[in-house]
Amino acid sequence: MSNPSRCRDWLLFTGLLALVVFTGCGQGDTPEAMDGKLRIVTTTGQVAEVARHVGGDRVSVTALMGPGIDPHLYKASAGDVERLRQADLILFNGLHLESKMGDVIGQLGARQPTLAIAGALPEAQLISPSNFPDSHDPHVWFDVALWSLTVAPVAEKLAQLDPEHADAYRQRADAYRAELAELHAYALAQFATIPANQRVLITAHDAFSYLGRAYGLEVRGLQGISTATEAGTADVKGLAEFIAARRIPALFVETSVSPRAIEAVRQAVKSRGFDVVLGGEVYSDALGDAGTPVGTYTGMVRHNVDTITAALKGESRHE
Amino acid sequence: MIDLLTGLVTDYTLRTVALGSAALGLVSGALGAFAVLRRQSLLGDAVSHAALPGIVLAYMLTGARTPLVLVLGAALAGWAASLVVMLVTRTTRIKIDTALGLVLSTFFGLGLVLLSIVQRSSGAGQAGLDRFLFGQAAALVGDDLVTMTVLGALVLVALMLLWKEFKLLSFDPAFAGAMGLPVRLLDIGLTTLLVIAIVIGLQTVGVVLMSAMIVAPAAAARQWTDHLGRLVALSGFFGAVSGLTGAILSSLVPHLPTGPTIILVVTAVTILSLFLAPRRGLLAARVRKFRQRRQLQAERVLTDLYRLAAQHPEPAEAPHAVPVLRTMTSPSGVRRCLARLSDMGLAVPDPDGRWRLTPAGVDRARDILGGDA
Amino acid sequence: MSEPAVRITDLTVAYGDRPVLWDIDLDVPAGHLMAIMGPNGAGKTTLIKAVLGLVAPAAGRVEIHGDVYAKQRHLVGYVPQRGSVDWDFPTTVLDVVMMGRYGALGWFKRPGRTERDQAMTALEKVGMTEFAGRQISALSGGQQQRVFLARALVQDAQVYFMDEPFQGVDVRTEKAIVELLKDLRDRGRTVVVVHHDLQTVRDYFDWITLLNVRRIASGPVSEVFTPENLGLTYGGRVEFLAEQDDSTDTVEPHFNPDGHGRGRP
Repeated sequence: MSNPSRCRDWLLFTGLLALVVFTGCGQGDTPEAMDGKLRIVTTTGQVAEVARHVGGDRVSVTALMGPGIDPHLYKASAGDVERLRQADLILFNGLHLESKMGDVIGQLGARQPTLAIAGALPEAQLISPSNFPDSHDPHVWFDVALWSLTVAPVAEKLAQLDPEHADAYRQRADAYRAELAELHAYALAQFATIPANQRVLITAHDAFSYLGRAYGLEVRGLQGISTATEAGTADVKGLAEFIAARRIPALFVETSVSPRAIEAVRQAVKSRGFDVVLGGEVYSDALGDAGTPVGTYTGMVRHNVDTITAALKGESRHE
Repeated sequence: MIDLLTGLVTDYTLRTVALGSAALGLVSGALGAFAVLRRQSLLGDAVSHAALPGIVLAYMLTGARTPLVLVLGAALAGWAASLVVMLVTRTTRIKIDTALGLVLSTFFGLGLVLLSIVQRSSGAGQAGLDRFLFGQAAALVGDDLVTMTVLGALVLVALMLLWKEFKLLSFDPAFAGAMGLPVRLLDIGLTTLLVIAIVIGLQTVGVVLMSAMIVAPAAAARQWTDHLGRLVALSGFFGAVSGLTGAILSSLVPHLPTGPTIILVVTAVTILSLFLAPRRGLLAARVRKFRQRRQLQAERVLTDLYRLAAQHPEPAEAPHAVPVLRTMTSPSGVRRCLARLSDMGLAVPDPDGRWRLTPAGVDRARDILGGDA
Repeated sequence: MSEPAVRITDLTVAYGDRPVLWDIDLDVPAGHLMAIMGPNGAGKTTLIKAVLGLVAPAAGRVEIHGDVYAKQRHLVGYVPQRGSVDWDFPTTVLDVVMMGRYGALGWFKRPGRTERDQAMTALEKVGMTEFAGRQISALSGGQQQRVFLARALVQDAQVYFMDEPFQGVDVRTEKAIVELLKDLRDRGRTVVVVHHDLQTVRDYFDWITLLNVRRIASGPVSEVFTPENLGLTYGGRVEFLAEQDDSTDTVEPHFNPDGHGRGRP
């Protein structure tokens, strides 16, 4: 190797190295510097709602999972990871709801502030599924009273990160809790109007145990706690038998889950001579479209309550 | 048991799932026989995996969630994949197994990427796209059953009409070409039938497991027959029975996914066939080897006796003792061989325990030794 | 028969940029038993495949008894190399022979009694009738070759093309096959055989084509089968060693071991 070309090679190499180093360094600019707001990134829409209500205009909230997206199956993309890394605070549901993002969030949690808002709830209040006694059902947001217990920890976390506005956060938290208390009362009242023997909620997966416990409904899902499982023939058959035997007036599809299996259950029930009605769509793991009433947590819960109540009282037909 | 059988007829879910799975097994088994004979087992795997991007693209382009549209996308993608494989092997030096592996992984990878993109959009869950990975047999309804049976029947009729052409194509495509058969067209035709068979099954057992339904029944059937017609029929039969049994089993146990259960059943059938088939089975081969070895040992002792006797002036009068025989070619199992020879009437023991050949034994020994006697 | 059984004009076949057959002009007169010979890679099998339309030529034309191959298929019988097929395929000897009638049967029809009888007749000619129901996986090399031959016979062709029919076959079978081929020739058919054994050329064939990517020579064996031509085809020097034999003065060709190469393309 001649001398000039060796020099050139080394120069290229150091140039390349410098480029890599400076690129890596360029990545950590604090977003706070940009508009003064705390950047919060959440997983589901429900969690984002809590963040928005507590943070107000002091925060800018992004939810990775939009309307109609199934959190059990959602895998984080490279873009998502980048957004999470640039966040001042990561809020997620916890209890393995976002089962395919567990590693990502765990690793980021070592270096950034994160909070599993459902995971922070007192264990005594959580439901354990019968076939997995060591873990908990993560669908806590359907018990409005329980869900409102997540508000205070979020406020505290924000106060910790931004002590200047701690009082504002706590005030907004109180206001939101009041709103939720009203919602909870509404749900209790509505569900109470369903005749006792028709208080059975049938959906695509076991997302509504908390709702059942809080508002006095019997709940059965076709698939298990997670939509990643497959419903077997016995499950479809068993559910159809149950519906026909108890003469349950309606069953429901979920916005984030394929309706095919529920449709199969319905056909099976029909073949037994009982016409069970498709009571409508309920929101299970995700909110509705942004900008609509069902795009907010409160709106979504109301919609569910109204739809379920009407259908089980026999007042609606959604063919 | 009676409940089960009546359930097959009366219970809507069990009946639909069982019949759908049986139809799937029948068609995929029959066509799988040809795929296996043509050394194209991997083609079934490649086409199934290649269906994934087709399904996702169909959803992305049309926004439709109806199974028919998605399955059509699957068929087009699977068909395109098989054409790409053919093209690659014909125009480059890449061999068919490499081509199949390439196409399989590329298409499937593309499918997963598309799936991941689509899952960010609302309503994707409603299409149940991820269900196509492993199938959702339990969600079969009457309409699905009709589609499956009609398509399946068409495929089987086409197979029967073009039976001799497909047979020749599979055995000796060069001769077929020389004789004027449109080999390339027939190749595409047979592959198209295979694609249809695969696409019928995608909703039931899914993209990842479908190849087992193509390959396993045929591999099992090959163990039992050497006749092409019987092979195809038996392969279809094994497939149908596996579908039926899988559906029944998953109807008895809660939370048992139907598709994977069917696959487990067909795998069990194949393993049993590999071991137990009368001529080609591993067990039969062992037994055969064992018997042959015994026969050989007995013949060695027979010839030993002959040679020993031949050294005496009066061969027929020369018995020899067991320890002597043990020093000859076969040291172990001498007594056992002698007992066998005695059963065959080729040797007899003397009262003092020594053995001699019978006239029949002498003749037999001469035959075995041939010219060296 | 004024026209040749096979007329090949300007035939060129290349795999990529490697020429396998170059500018072949060849006339095979009818009623002859012809050998095609040349070293490995000389294009012998490719020639047969190009004639039968199994390989696309870069240039050239093939006529069978005056017309293009595509129109004259019914006049042609083909015996491919034994190794080109998986003998573990689940089918019987009779079944394979009947395949020779598929072209005549046309689409959708099943072979029936007529085809069966024709197949049995062909099996009789090759001495394999007792094997009719046997699985082809249970056959020896010589038996397999005879089955392929029967399949070609059942096509009742005017021109037969055979690719290395004596490869790996026992002496008795070889003799039987040669008798059959000579019989075909005597009845006015044309038989073209890709052959590999220099020793037997004079005994078996009356016409020969020497090939090494180009056509080296073609004509009656007595004229063309010379040391000079063999030297051109196989490279190196070829010497004929006269060996005395009880019956006749047969001259056996023998290689001089100094150098062997390929002909120039």
